[in-house]
Amino acid sequence: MPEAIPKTEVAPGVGVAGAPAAPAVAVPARAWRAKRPVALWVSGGILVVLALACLLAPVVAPYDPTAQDPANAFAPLSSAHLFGTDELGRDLFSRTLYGGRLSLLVAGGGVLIAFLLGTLWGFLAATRRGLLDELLMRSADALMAIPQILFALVCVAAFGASLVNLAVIIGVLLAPSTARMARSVALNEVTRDYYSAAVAYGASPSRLLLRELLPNTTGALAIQAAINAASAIILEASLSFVGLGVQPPDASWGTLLQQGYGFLYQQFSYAFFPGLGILLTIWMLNVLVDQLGARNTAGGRR
Amino acid sequence: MRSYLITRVAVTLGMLIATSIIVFAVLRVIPGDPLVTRLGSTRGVSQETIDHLRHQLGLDRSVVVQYLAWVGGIPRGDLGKSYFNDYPVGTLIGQRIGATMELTILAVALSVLLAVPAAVLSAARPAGPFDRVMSALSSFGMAFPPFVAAIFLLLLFSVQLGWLPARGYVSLADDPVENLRHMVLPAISLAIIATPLILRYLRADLVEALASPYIRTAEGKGVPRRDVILRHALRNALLPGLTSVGLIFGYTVGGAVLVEYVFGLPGLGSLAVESAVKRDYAVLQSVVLLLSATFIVAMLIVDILSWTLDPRLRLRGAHA
Amino acid sequence: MTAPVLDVRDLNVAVRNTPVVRDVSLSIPAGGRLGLVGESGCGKTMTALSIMRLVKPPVHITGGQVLLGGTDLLRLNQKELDRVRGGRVAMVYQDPMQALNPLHRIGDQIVEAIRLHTNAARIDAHRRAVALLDDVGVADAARRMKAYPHEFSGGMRQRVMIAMALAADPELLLCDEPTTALDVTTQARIIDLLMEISQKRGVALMLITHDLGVAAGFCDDIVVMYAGRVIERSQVDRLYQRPLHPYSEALMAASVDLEMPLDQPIPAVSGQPPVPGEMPDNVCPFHPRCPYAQDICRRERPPLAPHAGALVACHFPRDGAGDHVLLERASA
Repeated sequence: MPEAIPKTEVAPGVGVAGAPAAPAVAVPARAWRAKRPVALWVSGGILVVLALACLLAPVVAPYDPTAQDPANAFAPLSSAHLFGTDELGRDLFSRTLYGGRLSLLVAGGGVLIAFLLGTLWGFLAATRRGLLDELLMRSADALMAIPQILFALVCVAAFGASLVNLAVIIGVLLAPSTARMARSVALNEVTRDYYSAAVAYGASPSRLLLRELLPNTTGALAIQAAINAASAIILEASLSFVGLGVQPPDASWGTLLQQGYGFLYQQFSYAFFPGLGILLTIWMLNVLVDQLGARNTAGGRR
Repeated sequence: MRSYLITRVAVTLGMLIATSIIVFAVLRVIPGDPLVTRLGSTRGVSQETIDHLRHQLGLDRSVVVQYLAWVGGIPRGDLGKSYFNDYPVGTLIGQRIGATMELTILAVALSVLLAVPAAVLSAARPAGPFDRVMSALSSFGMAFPPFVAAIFLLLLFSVQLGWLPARGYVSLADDPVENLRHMVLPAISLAIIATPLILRYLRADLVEALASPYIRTAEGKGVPRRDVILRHALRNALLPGLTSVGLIFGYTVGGAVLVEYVFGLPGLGSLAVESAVKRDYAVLQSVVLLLSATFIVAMLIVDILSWTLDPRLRLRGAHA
Repeated sequence: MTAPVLDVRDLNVAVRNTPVVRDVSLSIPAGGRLGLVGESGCGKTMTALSIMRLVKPPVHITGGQVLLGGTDLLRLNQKELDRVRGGRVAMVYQDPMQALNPLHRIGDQIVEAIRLHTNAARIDAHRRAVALLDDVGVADAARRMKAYPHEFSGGMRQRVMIAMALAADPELLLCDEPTTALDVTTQARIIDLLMEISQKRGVALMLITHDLGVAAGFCDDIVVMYAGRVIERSQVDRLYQRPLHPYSEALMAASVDLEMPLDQPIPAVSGQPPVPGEMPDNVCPFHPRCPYAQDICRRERPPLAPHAGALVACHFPRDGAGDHVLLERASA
């Protein structure tokens, strides 16, 4: 998933010798994202609702997702079966909810691992500089040059596709870009007074990373986490879709997409709603990132 | 001047090598065994046969030797043979590369065609109604993973409306019309996510260009608004915009993997998926390396192109 | 008396709701050279840009007339405006490196100007461009047509800009601090070039500058601006010898005199010009810094009125004896 890093905007040209700023086109950085904070709350809200509905699937879902009813296969959408039933008569609404649960869990695990690994990676590079920095960043670049899905394929082919493996693989995949971001913000902080003071005080490396750098970089890291969440969801879904992700009898949205793909003509909702779930989640995450990004650079932190 | 070129190419080579090592290493560190795939299972097969097969596939050599054998064969076009059916990997790739290239080119071309006018119109009146609509659509489009888009498009145009074929491929040489009918939906699936990306970058570049002092000079000369945007701003914004197209090209290659799978296109992406499922490492490692290399080389080409097209960079060092 | 080439009447320009150019009137006769001087931020650049209507939101022209040979530029539609800009009035900008398109050859940039306003065929336009470059003193003009802006030195770039401005033989040339970004020797050469252009081609010129020395040797008349208003307009000699407004006086005194004794402090105008919008409308904007200010200055803004052969906006302008006494005004 391409990074939605806000592009730096140029300030209106200032005349030479302090002459009044030459009248220029009002830079529309704000306009592009200036939809009032409504967007922030709406996107956040939708995400929370989605996440809760899915994570609480055992509570929310009307049926057991594995309960079969072959006589009732491919039942049309109705009040009894909101999304209809699949080829074995299982309720698709429940399956979709449980699917979301798995997708979010796996993706969440991946994001967590990416955060831990990537932040450490980036912070180390930023604080040590020199050869270690070069090495760490070059390896990050090399990893980032491989299209994510392909690398995921390779890893799954090698290590197998258990739920834990998937989370780890996704985490490792997202770590390099996280590392780049972490290094970049850390470099900003490392020059600040509070950091130099801590170093002068003889703070241990772990203290420097945990107590000094980390708290002051949460803004950017949170945004990166949101970006990673979107990528993680796509990755998990992509892998599951080709059968190399979440395996039956477990079913994530990607797995449902794969199964639904085989029945496109019989039951559109099979693939449609999981797809919609993915789409909606990622869309809201993107909007959230945009909103947070605008606030982070334009708002207070600089 | 030339040193820039040399450094750039050297860095690219380095990255390619690093990538090949990474891909190779990951596949060799595995506990699993490609032999199992080939044989179905090792039960009931004599150790002799297994050893013989292992030797045939070259799997009894040390890891380093295997790696060097692979990499060494690349310049010759010899990428080894598929574990599955002894087919030369190079031939397999050669057969499938056409579809992938066509898909990627179509998708990128479509995206550029859509994105450039949209970016121009958006940047011409920032925060205006068109710009706002484009912004919202962009957010939405960028959230559409290509394979999800592919499925939705299939549902609408093939299942529901029956206008376009769902799967399959007809080569361009055989029947251009049929070929395009099979490629339309796949290309659109990719364009849905690529267009907003290009649009975003280009719009930002355009806005930046429009805020430059030379735009005011052009207006002061009496250049009509349309030419100001097209001949001055766009012309200058396309240069940095080129970089984004290179990036997009790389992303599109990644997205093509699943799109090919969904639409049953015989391309490198679907080959990668198939070989991953079958644990056919010989094929997988080469395909992945090739696709990564495409991305890396695309970036290199874009860099060199930008460098040659920007007169300021070209003459660096020649003038004070 | 022939009509002036440029006649600006009561021009008002605002940034959002804050006026930055107030009731500015000035005129330039055909072939004349007017200097527009003032501190940074006094509104002189804004005035020039407004004359060409090159201002963009949030800057708005809120009133007045800009008559170029009788045509009010503020009333023209976009197409007509495009014809006038570059054709009848052209501008030379402050920083030539920024103002020239870095990716277009300078020959193309000049030819573009020519072809926009004449029916010249490409070859003729090219020839004319070479001649123009030659006129402005660019050596080896034919070959230099193919060069890019960054290949030129600062002074050369400014010459290119001037050539571009002259491309369509305008009646009026606005020069916004054309020498500020240049070193002193080059400055002199550019000013000489402008003088030559003014005399040879009869183009009317408006020179905007904060450098009094530059204005002195070049202009016929000077308009002094302060806080968005015209506070004095006078013939150049008269202004330099006998400035009427306390501000002009202070400006003249602030120029470093090389003959001055070394132990004397350099006279400077103390204080800062007001931030736009900060000062109410009914006071003299200069009064906080004025040594002659009195009560009336805080109650009533002095209008721009004739006095001693010039125009000045002050209650206590300098009189013949060199004193600053209250100016008696006829009741409105």
